[in-house]
Amino acid sequence: MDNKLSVKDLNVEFTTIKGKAKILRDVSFELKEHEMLGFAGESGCGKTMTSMSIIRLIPPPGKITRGSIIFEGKDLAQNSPREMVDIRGKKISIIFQEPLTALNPCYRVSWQLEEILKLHFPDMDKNERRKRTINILKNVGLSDIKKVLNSYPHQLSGGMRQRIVIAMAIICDPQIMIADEPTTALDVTIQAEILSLIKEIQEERKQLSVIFISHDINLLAERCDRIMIMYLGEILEVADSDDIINKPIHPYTRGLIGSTPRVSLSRKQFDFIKGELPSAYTDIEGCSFYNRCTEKDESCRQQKPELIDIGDGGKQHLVRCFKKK
Amino acid sequence: MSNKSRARSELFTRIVKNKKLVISLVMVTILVMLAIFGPMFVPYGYEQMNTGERLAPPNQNNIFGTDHFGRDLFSRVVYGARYSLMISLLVVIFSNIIGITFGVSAGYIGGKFDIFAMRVIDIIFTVPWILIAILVAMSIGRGTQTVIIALSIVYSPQVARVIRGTTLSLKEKEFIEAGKISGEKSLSIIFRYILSNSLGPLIVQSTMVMAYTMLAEAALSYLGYGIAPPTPSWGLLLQDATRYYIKSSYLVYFPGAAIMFAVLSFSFLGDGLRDLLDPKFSPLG
Amino acid sequence: MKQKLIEVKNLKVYFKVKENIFSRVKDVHAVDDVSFTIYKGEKVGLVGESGCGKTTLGRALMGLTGITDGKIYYEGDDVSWLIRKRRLNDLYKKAQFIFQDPYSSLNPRFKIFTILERPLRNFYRMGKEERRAKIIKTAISVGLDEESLEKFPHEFSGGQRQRVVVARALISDPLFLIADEPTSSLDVSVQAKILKLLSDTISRMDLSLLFISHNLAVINQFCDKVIVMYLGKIVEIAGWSELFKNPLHYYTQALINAVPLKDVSVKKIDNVRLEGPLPSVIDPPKGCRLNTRCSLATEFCFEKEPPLLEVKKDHFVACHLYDKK
Repeated sequence: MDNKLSVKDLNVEFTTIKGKAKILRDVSFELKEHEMLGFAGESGCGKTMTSMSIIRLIPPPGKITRGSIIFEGKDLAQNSPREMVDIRGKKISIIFQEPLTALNPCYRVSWQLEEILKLHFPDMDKNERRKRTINILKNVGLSDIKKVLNSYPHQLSGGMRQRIVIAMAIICDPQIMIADEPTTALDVTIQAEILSLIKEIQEERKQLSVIFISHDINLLAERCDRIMIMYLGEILEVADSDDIINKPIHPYTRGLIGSTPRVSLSRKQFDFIKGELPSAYTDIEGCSFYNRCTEKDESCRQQKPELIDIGDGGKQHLVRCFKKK
Repeated sequence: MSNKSRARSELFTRIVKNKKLVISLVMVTILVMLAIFGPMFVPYGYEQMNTGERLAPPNQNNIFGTDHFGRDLFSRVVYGARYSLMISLLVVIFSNIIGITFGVSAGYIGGKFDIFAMRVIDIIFTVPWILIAILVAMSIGRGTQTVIIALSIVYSPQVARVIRGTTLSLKEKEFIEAGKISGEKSLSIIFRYILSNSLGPLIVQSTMVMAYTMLAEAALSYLGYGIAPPTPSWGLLLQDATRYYIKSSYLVYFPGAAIMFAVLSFSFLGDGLRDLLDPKFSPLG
Repeated sequence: MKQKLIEVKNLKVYFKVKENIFSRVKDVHAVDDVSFTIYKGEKVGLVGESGCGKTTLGRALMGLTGITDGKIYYEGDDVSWLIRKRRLNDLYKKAQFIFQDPYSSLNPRFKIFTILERPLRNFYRMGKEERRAKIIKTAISVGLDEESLEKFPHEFSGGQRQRVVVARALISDPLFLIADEPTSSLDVSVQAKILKLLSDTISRMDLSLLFISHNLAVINQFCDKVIVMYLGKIVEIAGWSELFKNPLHYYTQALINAVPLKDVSVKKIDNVRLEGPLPSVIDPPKGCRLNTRCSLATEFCFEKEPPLLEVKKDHFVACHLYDKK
């Protein structure tokens, strides 16, 4: 089966006065058809930068220095800005954390949605646009649609705004939707609704695959099919959600899961990961997790481990660690 | 490399790479050197008249030429640097005192006091500066002190607005509240928490005021409201030149060039500092 | 025998707003008639979503906002009077506050030494040497070394800065700490360390803590007692395991249900959904604040506000369903 998106050896660097920061180091992964893939990791791990690379919106002075991003037979890393305009919003869309800043405060909701259609489907007539706009708002669970269409973003609640942002992301029937911390700025009860909505949308639309980025691994584990753990610009582990949560292998993954509190009727000792995240400016020869790992030995410092599949029973479970074979 | 020395070499690199900043620093240094040490090295005193050599164009003895009293223009321009710089510095200091007082109290106290204080500032800002200078001159006569008082008033609104802005944005920051619950009194909060974190914009604003003052002082002296002759303010040199510039145009060019040089150097310094103190770089506010 | 440290009785904090220049001045009922007790050594969690008033309550207890009505007692002394009279230095010696954002709660122009010195200089008469010794001792107790004292905040990471914030809160020997989302802006692995630091410090110094957070998982694993707030009112108070085992209030149930990936020991309650938008805090609805969103609401819920009653030992709830009258 073909993959929806195939990223190979992606390297992104930022060159500043302080030197060269390697933001993404040889990132390779596949986004399968009709799946929800979670990107997990803490600040600076590269999860947002990976998604920005896919849609070629890396902020300067960042640049892709190596690697390919294959989508529909073409390498997005080689695309010109003109070619990317045809893809963004239409074939690959993205929703961000703060819906208030994602929406233009000067225009009504109807305008925001119709603009996207005008851009990507210039031959669509006014009635068809109206119909699609109304339909998509129904799809995202909004009621009282006429009122919503006539409202300005600031007149709506946070949850409603995020639904509109999601509507804008799927109105062109994209192949891939990237959700970058879409619920972090929302209240817990609204968060649950939005998460269910995204999952529903992903399940209904057979041509859609979703990349879901979050720092909260519990959130990812509940809804994603697979989870990819990132650290310092590298992928350390990739597996089905259940396996990541219940059978984590990489010491970082285990530390991450151990330090994430979970609602329970029993008290658990808080685990932690000792040490601090090294700077992105340092060149690391061996394993990037070396200075914080409790299971290391000398060989871990000298050579960088490869991402190897140690899954059994036909399920893929990739780990980047010498100690786990 | 420790964090501190890494931060220092970063700062150094940022400064060196900013061409505008480097050039302006060189220019300002020249100006300051000229102002402090120049008068010791000039060939003539600024009052020294040599009636035989009146209105002589630039020559071996007088590299800038002489004026209608036979005074050496070069010496007068160099002395002028001292006066221009000193006056501008004093104006910067006093306008900051006035502006900061209004601005920080308006921002900190807020409410009706803020509205009132800022309207006073607005009035000063709206009245044409020459009018303010004339009013001051009419009260206390012309002279150096008039220029300083008038221009300090004229430029205080800009300082007030900048400080009020920084005060308002800092007031909401948690470290201000944290200071209060550490028992800090209002005065301490204003100086050590608010003002010390407003240095960046303040310094940039001050370099701008230096530049404006030099021009304004020249204008005032030229118009007769400023410094009295024979003190060689650059503005006065221009005033002297008015009568003779058709035949002796060098009388205009040299003081004019000096004014331009000084104003540009401070403007560039302000621009360069603004780039350096970009919020990306934390230390100076 | 548990000793009462803080007693809050019928606390009201209202703010004045004007919607536009033509409307009348109205009151925002940020904290509306709230009463509870905190015992010595207790870690109390205060949880709720945006607009519930938890932050305002924490700030009011610290004297950072004024009090409209009601009483606050610290060890039997009425401090609400002190707050009203703005005689706050005495209050600041008894209670201290930990802010959310470690990046904006430290004065960038102060060395860490100075930050820790200010409270001592302002509250106590101490010799220079004595002060220095206390500062060093406090810094070490939060995991900072003596060299850190000469550095500035920007030289530290978020987690380290938060340690400085904790040190600052502890240095004046308060009885009571109020922490407003102290780990919400930190990465998970750092959060675990800060929570451990808080926990150790509280037991070592026999302090009480009010832990304000929107993160139920952290509250579940960290606090002894939990207070749930909604729209300015307390809806439920219970010990942590009792609350998660038997949540009585509809809102508490909705909150718990919304948390992703709970442990299997926590049972899922079906059919608990909050319908409709959040009502305004300016004109709160008559009767129970949740009436427009609760599917169990009866006519009575629209007429009379439910009082907070102790329906089981140490388990309080404000809901007519449990009010035997």
